Amino acid sequence: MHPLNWVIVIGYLGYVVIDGIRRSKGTTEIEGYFLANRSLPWWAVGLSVMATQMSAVTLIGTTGQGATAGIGFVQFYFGLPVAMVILGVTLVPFLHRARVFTAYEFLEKRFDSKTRSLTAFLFLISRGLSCGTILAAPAVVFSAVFGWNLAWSVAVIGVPTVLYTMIGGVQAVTWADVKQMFLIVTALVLTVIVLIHKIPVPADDALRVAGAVGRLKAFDFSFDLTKTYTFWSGIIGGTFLMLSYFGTDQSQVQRYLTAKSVDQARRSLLMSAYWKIPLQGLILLIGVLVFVFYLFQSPPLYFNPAHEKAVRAAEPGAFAGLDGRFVEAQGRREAAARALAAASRGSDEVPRAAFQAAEAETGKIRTEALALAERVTGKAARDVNYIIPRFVVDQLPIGLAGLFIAAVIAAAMSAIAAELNSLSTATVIDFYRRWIRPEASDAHFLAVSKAATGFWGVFASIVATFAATLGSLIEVVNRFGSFFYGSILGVFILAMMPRAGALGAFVGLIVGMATVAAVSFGAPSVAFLWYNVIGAVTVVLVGLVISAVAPARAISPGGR
Amino acid sequence: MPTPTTDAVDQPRFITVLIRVLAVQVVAGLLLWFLQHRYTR
Repeated sequence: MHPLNWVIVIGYLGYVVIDGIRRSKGTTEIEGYFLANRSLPWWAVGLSVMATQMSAVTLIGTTGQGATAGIGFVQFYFGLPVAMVILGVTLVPFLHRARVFTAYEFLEKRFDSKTRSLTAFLFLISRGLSCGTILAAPAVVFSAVFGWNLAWSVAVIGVPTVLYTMIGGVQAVTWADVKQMFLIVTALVLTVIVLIHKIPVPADDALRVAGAVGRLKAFDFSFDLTKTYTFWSGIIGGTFLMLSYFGTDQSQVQRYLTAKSVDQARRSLLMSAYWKIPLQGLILLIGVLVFVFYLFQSPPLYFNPAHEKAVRAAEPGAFAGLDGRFVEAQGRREAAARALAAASRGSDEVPRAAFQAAEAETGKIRTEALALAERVTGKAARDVNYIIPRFVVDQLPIGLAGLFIAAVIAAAMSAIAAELNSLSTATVIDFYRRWIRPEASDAHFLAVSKAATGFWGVFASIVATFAATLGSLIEVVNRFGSFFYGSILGVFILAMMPRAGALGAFVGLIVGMATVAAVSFGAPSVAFLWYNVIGAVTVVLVGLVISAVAPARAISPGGR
Repeated sequence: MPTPTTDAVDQPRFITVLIRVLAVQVVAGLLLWFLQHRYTR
């Protein structure tokens, strides 16, 4: 990459750390460190909420998914706007007015300490590990694309993030998020402009070519529980997932607890309600346009340079054979794409079929190439996360490539920083202050909070460094996380029901998680978005039945 | 601890905001539908 691109990346990293440390001035107690003294404006909190949800995987993986599978993934977010409105009138006022630091603290006030501790513990385990995977995803890609050592890649993203989060607390996290969102959106918009300029056919024809092979199919109305992304799984499962993520996950709850008022907190969430789907559409559209771009410009056989190097070295004959076939097939595909783009709408059936056949042919060769890479490297070979980084490094103009890499790092940092900040909060508030040192000075808690942030940063970095070799373990972790996400939402729904009692909530949570685990192992084809619905509904039903059977245990919402 | 009162669940405001948010989503959905309908066959 050109040195100017690196200057932009290094300049950005330096600026974020220095600005974060500058914002730590005046933070002398934990209310300021964790909640910015509940003083932040809605727009800063709203941008922070969006930045937290967006990780490097969004910029690398989602765009790659747009290039390989099209824009259907947008359905995943269909439940988000509805969830935000529901949260705005239910949990947000509850949590804000309860003057709590964590969502789990609210559960002790409403139910009891064991429900609080269990939910906080589940959060720490799942978020601690997921923080590592969020850090690992871009680090693994950077290692392959730039030839860096994995530990070095982890350090480039992890060290500055841990520094500004540890020193500056939530103020540094939020204001860094604001800058990071502007950087990310600027890089995305400029990339779309460059892509439209680089594709040699008019935009309307480019979309027609993409549409011919299903890249613009946004909706799938089939009610099939085994399909991951459909309109119904997005609207129903997605609503439950987003309610759980934004309503009960401390990494998001803490964002809007920093808002000046309940109304400002609501407005911050509505920013996502309005903008998340258009932003996600833009990201997927970039993937689609990159797909079209590579129809007219020879793509590499392997987008992952590490695969190419390994296969070239181990199987030079097989590589040369595949590459030769791929170049020929790509030539036919380009000619077919040009013929389709030139054909008039309505009479393009023949060139359309020819292009679809040519696309299938290149796809088949690529599948063979990936199978070969899998045999050579001994690891699952998927190219989807390398399409955009390769495009950025090889094709974007000097300056914009650096800006895009900085945006990927920014997206990773914004998600990791918010998670470290919330992990530290739950560690200190829900465990250290609750069980170990209930009485201590603010200075003491502040020092422990900073140490906890550092600890989780080191923990995430260690997980990230080993993540590449822990592929299947990461899947287990993600699956484990999906067991209790909907169930925790169920507990919070119970918390807003006056009839629900502490015993019902706790037993409901256990039964909910067990039910989802049973479905996951008993009917593994059920798509994971439905787990959230199953978990939440089970917890509420079991919780209400137990509370009715053992009413003496029930506590009214205003009772404690 | 706040209780679920009409103040916490401000229904007229909730419905207004819900309608506004849904209206924007319907427009976004129609745009996606247009993309799919025009270019996918």
